[in-house]
Amino acid sequence: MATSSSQMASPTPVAHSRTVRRRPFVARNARLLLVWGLLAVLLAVYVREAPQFRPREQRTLANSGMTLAMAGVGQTLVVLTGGIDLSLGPMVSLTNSIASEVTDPNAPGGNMPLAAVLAVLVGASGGLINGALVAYGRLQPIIVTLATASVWTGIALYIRPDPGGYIPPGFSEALTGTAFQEPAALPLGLTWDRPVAKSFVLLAGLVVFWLVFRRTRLATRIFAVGSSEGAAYMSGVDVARAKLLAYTIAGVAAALAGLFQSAQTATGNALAGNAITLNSIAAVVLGGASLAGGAGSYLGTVAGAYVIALIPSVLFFYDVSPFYQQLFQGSILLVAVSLGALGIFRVRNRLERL
Amino acid sequence: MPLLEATGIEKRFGGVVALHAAGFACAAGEIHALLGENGAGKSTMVKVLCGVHQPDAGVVALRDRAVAFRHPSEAAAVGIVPVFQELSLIPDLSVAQNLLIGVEPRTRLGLVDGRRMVRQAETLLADLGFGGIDPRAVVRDLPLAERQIVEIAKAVGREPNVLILDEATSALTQRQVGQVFSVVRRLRDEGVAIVFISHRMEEVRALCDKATVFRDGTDVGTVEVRAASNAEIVQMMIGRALREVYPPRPPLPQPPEPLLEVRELSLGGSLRGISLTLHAGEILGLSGLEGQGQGDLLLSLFGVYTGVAGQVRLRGERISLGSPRAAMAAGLALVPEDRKTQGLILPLPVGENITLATLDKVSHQGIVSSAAEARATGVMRDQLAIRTAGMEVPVRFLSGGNQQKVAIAKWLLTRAKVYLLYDPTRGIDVGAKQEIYALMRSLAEQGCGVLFFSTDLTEIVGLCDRALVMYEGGIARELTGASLTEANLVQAAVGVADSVPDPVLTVPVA
Repeated sequence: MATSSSQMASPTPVAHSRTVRRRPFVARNARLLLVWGLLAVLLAVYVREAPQFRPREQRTLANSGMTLAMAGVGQTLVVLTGGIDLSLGPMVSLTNSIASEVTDPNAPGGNMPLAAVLAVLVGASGGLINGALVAYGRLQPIIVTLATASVWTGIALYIRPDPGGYIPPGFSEALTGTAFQEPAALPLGLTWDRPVAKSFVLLAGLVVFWLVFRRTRLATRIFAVGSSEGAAYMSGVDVARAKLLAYTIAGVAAALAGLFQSAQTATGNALAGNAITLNSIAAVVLGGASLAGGAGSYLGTVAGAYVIALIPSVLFFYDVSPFYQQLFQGSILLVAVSLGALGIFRVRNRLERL
Repeated sequence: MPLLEATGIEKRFGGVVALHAAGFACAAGEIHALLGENGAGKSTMVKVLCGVHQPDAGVVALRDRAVAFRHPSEAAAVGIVPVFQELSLIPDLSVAQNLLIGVEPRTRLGLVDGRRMVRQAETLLADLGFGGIDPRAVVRDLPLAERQIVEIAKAVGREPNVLILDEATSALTQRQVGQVFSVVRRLRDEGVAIVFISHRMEEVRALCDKATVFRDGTDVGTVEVRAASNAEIVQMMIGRALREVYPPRPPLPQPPEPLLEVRELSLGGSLRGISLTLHAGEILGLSGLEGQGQGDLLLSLFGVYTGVAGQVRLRGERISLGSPRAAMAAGLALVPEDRKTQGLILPLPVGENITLATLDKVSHQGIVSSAAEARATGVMRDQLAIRTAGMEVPVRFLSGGNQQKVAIAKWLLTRAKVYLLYDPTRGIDVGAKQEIYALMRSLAEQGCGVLFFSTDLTEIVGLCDRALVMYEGGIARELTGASLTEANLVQAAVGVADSVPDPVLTVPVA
């Protein structure tokens, strides 16, 4: 009796008497919540103010941010390593130009499969060149990618001096159209009867890609390199390889964005993607990533991309002159970044705040 | 047979010899301390052992087989795992990710198995007696002590043959140290060879079987810790001849005039209630092993930190610690630790570096007058004997000693009353050192006060009127006159209080 009661009295070792806890959910995800909140507000305004919201409007909305969202995958990874990629926009233009040139109205499938494979290979090679120069050449990312940006633009202009070329309409429909126009049967006996813009399906794919990628060893290494290159090196991380792969994936992401842009515009243009460069950096920063590297998430970037895409439409509904778009876009970026920088006041050493 | 043995290790950095014919051996199941002053070569030795540095000559042998590592991961692969004071944790990753980086558990699909990773990390931490740390917490949010524990856990989790602890317990509380020690003893009993570096002599006594003493880059002897007295060990650590390169010390003006009075200065965990008085005409040394708060004290006085508690008076007037600008205006000058990043602007010409802190004195209405600049810099060049091909030469082309003179000249022009010097002679040649010593003395003779942090004990003994020994963020000991000796400095620096410490706030030197 005595034994059993003493057994009852002695509790199992308390595994959860934490003295050092992780920060609460809201604190950990403050930047993500901020950008998603901003996006939610803009979406609400968009849906309320738009004259109507049919599949067509949904499609326009979804497509408007898609190129940026795709390229944003690349910019996120590069920024996470502590770098920056100024050549993403020109790579979008270059792959768009290549696609519009390789296609052929008389070939089966319009030669689009060949064009797509070629675009992805070009994107990967371009990213590999950036990555090799940064990781092994030890050059600064901003200079390397500024230079390659010019090179990509030059090649794009050589391939497609004037806008034009051919993009098969089927390809455009496949990427930018509307899915589930007819009720469709899903597994487990469910049906789906609401039209969904195909861009949203692609977007879901990107998010799933991120959630899976986040759990690879490569992702951990990329975060580690950006957070503290020295500590990563001391932990046996191959720093150069992590950077090389980040830039290479960024090139592929830009190529996919170039293909989407081809589908969306149904034409080729050697300069049309160039705005993507700075907008992708803005999207990444809006999404809460640190330009110093090591902290950030594609889940933020994707919201940032759509915030940037939505601002012109929302301003349009309020009859704001397009001349002020840049002003608003810049102001929103400044406010978001300032809110995100509040944490700096926790730092005690003024030298480290600089 | 020793498990790990280093023999005849040579290592030079530029012209500086860090290790010369150095070595020691550690057997399996032994805890071996490395002892020595700052710059004696302990840390360089450890970095050679674990592949951070490659020796210029000499052999590292593991189980009697010579090994050479190009990268820390190669040393880790054969079981030599270090824990450094400068942390090797990645701030933005979680505790679990840090503990298992490179050996993450994976699912069948090859993805990192987050849940299993957290469980493994949890087990590892609990096994070491630190189950209170949430493996999902981000390292950046951890207090310093817990980061150090994670660092130790990371090393132990690699199941090392040789575990190297380089000041790995410096931020821990006594209880945490006790827990870490019991883990270390358990590893020893399992046959791990442990190399232990600490600035706390009591820790060495409590934990270590043997100790090898380093001095001037070479090993000068190995002792059984239990059989050796503190006095013997301290005697082995010092023993350099005092070079006669220091200017004579004139008596302080009487009565002594307090210039800078610091009362109860505290900063987070790194400074604890520092009180000191610096007198006009005095060179006051700050000593102790590196990282005991000396640097933070100087930086706090110069307004670099926020959250500093306490009072500072200059000639009786309270001064603000709000920013370096405010400190300058009050009459303070700081020659910082790293002259290449904080002291100088390397690509700028010598002249512009010298006038950077006093631009308003050499300019009229915002335009820098080149005549005034030339006059000011010319005076400094002559006074400090700065050797340069010209004032327009970028300062990075100057030798280390002349660079340091430029960094000091910048502050002389401000006509500061108090000079805070952060190890100003580190890495410069003997001739330039002597010139800087003479300059410090002449500043003192002009009635300025010099607060001088040096990692070189002979400088403190040879140059200073008085010295404060810092230990773990506080002032452990004040030494003046005949008691200002290397032996006393070392004793106080390693936390050995053989004699009763003098009261910290003492009367000025007689």
